Parts: sequence; C-alpha cells; structure tokens
Amino acid sequence: MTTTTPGRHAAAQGRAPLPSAGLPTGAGTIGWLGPLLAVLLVGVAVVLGQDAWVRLNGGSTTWLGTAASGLDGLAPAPWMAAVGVVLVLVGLWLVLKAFGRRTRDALALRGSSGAHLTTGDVARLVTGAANQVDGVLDAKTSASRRSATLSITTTGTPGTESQAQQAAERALSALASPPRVRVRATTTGDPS
Amino acid sequence: MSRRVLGLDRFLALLLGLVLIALGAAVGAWGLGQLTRVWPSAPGQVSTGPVTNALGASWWAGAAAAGAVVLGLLGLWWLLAHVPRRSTGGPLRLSGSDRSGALSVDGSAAAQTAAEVLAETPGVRSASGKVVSDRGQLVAEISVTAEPSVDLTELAEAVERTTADLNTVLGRSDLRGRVAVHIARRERSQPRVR
Repeated sequence: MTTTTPGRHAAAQGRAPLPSAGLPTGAGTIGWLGPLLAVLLVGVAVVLGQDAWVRLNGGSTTWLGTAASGLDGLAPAPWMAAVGVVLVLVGLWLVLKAFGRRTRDALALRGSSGAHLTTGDVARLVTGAANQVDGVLDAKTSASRRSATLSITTTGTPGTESQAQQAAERALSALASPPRVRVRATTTGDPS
Repeated sequence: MSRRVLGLDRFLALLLGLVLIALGAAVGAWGLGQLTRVWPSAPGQVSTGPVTNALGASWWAGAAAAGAVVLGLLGLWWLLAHVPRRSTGGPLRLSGSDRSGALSVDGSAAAQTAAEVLAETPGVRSASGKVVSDRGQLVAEISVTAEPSVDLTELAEAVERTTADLNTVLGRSDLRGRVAVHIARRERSQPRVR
C-alpha cells in the first residue's frame, strides 16, 4: 500500500526550481548519414543474398556476376579521372561529416528552469512582436543563436523601423543571451 | 539516439570516407596512366577472371548466403539502434520511503499537472508534460505552445514558479527539468474580454 505524507517533505524541500537537464542538441548531418549507411549495408546484404539465392537454385545470372563480367577488360581512359575526383570528393565530405559538430539551435530563457526556445521559435516571436507595431504591414524573420534579422514592410510612417526594433528586443529580453536584432524595412510600393 | 551509436556512425563514415578517397585517387591515377609511378606493376586493364572463378566455385553460394544473413542482421540492428528509446520511468520513489512503507508518485501525472498550470498563463495555447528517463537522467519534460504575442518574461516567471512547485511535489534530488517553448506560427483569434 502506498502512502503519502503531504506537507512535511514539501516544506523541507523548499521551493527551488528544478535544475536544468541542459539544452538539447541536434546530431547534425551524421544524424541522417548514419541511418543511410545502415541502409547501404542492408543493400550490400541484399546483393549477396540475391547471388546466393540464384546460385543455390541452379541459376548463374546474378547482379554480382553481371557487374564482374561488365568490368572485365576495362582499360584506362581519361573519363576515369572524373570518376576518381567524384569518389575523392564524396570521401572527403564523409570524413568532414564524421568530425562534424553537433548542431545547436536552442536558446535558454533566463532563470535556472531549463526552459528554451529554438531559433525558429525566436523568429516567430520576433515576427509576432513586429506585427503588433503600428505601421507594419508584413513581417518576416530569420534567426540564428546570435542574431535575428527582421524584414518588415511598412506604410512609410516615420519611426516604424525603430519601434519594430524596440518591440522585437522587448520580446526577446527574457532570453539569457538574446540575439542581436537587425531590421530591414521596405515601404509599400518600394521598387526594392 | 545513444552516444555509442552516434560514435559508431562517425567511425564508419570516417572509414568509408577514407576508403573512397583511396579508391578515387587510384581510379583517377589509373585512368590517366599515372598509377605506374607509385605502383610499377599496375595492370594495364581490369581482369575479373579470378572474381568470376570465385563466384562460380561450389563454396561461394553458401558463403554469400551466410554473409547476406550476417550483414543484413548487422545493418538492421544498426538501423534500429537509431530509433530513440526513452522509457517513462513509472512510479517515482520518494524520499522518506522506508521499511514501514514506500512513498511513490506517478511522475508523469505530476508533470502533466504542472503543464496544465502553465497552460493557464496568458498567451499560452497548450502544454503537456511527462517524466522520462533520457540518457541516464530522470527528466521532467514539459512542452509549451505559446502565441506569437506571448510575454516571454511573464512566461519565464511562470515556468520558474511551476517547476519549483513540481520540484516540491516530487522532491527528488536527481530529477532535472527541460521546458521546450514552441511559438505558434499564427496568432489564434481570442476573445478580447475574458
């Protein structure tokens, strides 16, 4: 039988916020490259399996056999240099990705609770703040962990740009290290 | 995804990368007739005769079948190892448990209640919570979806308050918190007076 004694332990624990579990990180390219390599390995198994299946059933025309006889008698040719370059480039890319850093796109809120937003959420927040400013007709934002670029279309009322900037900075002020906000304004009918 | 699987991914990507670089360099040099500089006895043309002989040998079919099974199982295991595996911890044992009685609480229910309290914050559309065991850590995960016009300062204070309450209720020193705040794409039209 489970029993609880509310109150006593609660009082002893105090009211400290939960310690943070740390910001989440993404795996980066290796996150999909790994599963892709696993699929390729299964593909190799399928090729071997087809060979074994055909030969055990008395046949002799297999994918591996066809590839081997196709390559037979191949003499050096200049186009192989291009194939070699492609192989080297793919190999270099794989080596680079093997050492690639994890991706970080989370920004922590101030405080110790471990609350965070992703850069995409920050962009939507800035857009939402800018949309509430008088004179802003349309707003779009792209954000990284260091900076947010707000592109607005305004009616041309003077001061709209700085008001939008202030609104965006206010919206992000609860972040532990808010990204720098840059505003690009165009007026309706502007050729740019 | 566990760090061990990620390490295996990186190692095998590195290995395949190095193999491709070596193979590409060899193919390119051979195509241009330069391979004999580093390998004087490089063949003038490809001869797959030995390979074809091996493929036709009596032992080959059995070996290929065995190889296919082994590589297929390895590949499937490798692929499935990428599926995130996170268990909800079940009931949490509380401090104060002894032989006279065990104190336990459903952690996910407590986290869900905390999320419901958070959902009352102005500008918050919805919230959900659960307790999971993630890479050896016991983590109370709360996911909050807020309107684009939400006051983030107010939300941050509400998160601090609510997780402090959750900490008080669960009273586990090994419990960590992670609150993901999502901002909705569009403002949901709300009644002006509530």
